[in-house]
Amino acid sequence: MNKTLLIILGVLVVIILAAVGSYNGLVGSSQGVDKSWADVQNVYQRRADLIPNLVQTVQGAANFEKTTIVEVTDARASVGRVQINANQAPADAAQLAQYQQAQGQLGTALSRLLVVAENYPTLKASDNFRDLQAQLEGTENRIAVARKNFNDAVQAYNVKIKSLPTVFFAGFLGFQPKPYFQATAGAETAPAVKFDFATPAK
Amino acid sequence: MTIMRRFLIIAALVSLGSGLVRAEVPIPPAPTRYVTDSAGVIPAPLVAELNRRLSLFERQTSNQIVAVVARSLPAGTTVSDYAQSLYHAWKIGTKKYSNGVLILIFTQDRKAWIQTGYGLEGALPDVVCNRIIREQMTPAFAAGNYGAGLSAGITAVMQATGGEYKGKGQTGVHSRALDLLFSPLGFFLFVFLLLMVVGRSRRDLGPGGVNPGAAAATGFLIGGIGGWGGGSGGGGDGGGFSGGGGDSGGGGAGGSW
Repeated sequence: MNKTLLIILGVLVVIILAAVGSYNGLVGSSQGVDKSWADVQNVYQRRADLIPNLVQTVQGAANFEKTTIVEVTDARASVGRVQINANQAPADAAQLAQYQQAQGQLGTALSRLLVVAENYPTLKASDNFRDLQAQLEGTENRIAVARKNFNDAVQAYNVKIKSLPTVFFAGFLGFQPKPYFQATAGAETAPAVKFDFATPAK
Repeated sequence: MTIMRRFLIIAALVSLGSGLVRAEVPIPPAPTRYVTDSAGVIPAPLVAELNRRLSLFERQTSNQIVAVVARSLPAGTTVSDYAQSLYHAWKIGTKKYSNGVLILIFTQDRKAWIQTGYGLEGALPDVVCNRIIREQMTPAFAAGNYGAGLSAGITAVMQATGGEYKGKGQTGVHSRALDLLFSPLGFFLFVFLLLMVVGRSRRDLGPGGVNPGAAAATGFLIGGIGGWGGGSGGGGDGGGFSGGGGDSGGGGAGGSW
């Protein structure tokens, strides 16, 4: 009698220990996702911060095509309208998709503007424009890296909450799967900003 | 039934995640020298001199600068993606600061790239990388003088990053050997071997005796520890390269000629 009680107690202790262990593991990888989300925010912000300077520089060029500039400033404004928490990775796939779409539009508008700028030799040769171009290009690369790191972190987290034994505790403890960045056509064409190397976008 | 479903969900998630990664391009193993010229366009004495300078530079600043000259970029990738993948795989710079730089030159594609680790983005912003490529490197490359262009580029990178961190007088190759010695496993092995040697000498001889076997074993042990540094340091040009655990966030710039 006493023995069975001990066994039950022992099993309970093991279950509690397993729950604590998987809870700690989940908290850790959830925070990993939030951290890499903050990195994504940083690099997107870095790109947004370059835009006023870019706009000013291309406006200085004689009769620069106005529509491309307007597209960039509009896209930047619509990115600002997407409500998103900078410190916590989005839990809602639709919200992330909306954010991604707005950023994707900004990326496309920027690469179009840079392609148009190719037609203005004096602008293209100015140090200011070259520097901006290098910065934008580097920022697009950083965005690609940050997004990949974010997806890797989300993947590690999602696999964790779906695998044994965590799967028994995860839902109960409030850990839900998190959405990924999708590899859309827009995301693939955005790095066309690297028009030094790739063929300029259509 | 539910387990099967769960399994399918996991499989779907995993495949979704990996589907986001671009087509895999094979990544060559990390070079053992700072400067590698597989295109055969840089005179061997210059490669040796640059290796020597970069080894000294790492000792002084702990910054790792790696340069690779190759004929062409693998199919299905871009210079920037490839540079990022190589940097990540080769772990250039220290783990703590990620203070590394990777310089890639593709002679047939006529493309050059400077990739910066997280820790040198401040000292070597994209604009500076772009200028170094445009002003120091590509003019010489266009004239067919790869050695001069690479040398000027490396010098400019060293000048830009020299003041950022302080070195410990050793390179990644050396600290790797020391890490092993001071790691728990290394320490355990050391104590284990020592006990074995002492134990055997006690058993074989009475107190006060000297066991030639034990002495030889101790000598071998000490010699072996010393050999890690010496053996892997290799090369007559002042030591090789071994990545310190650094990573890059996609910083850098490129150019063509």
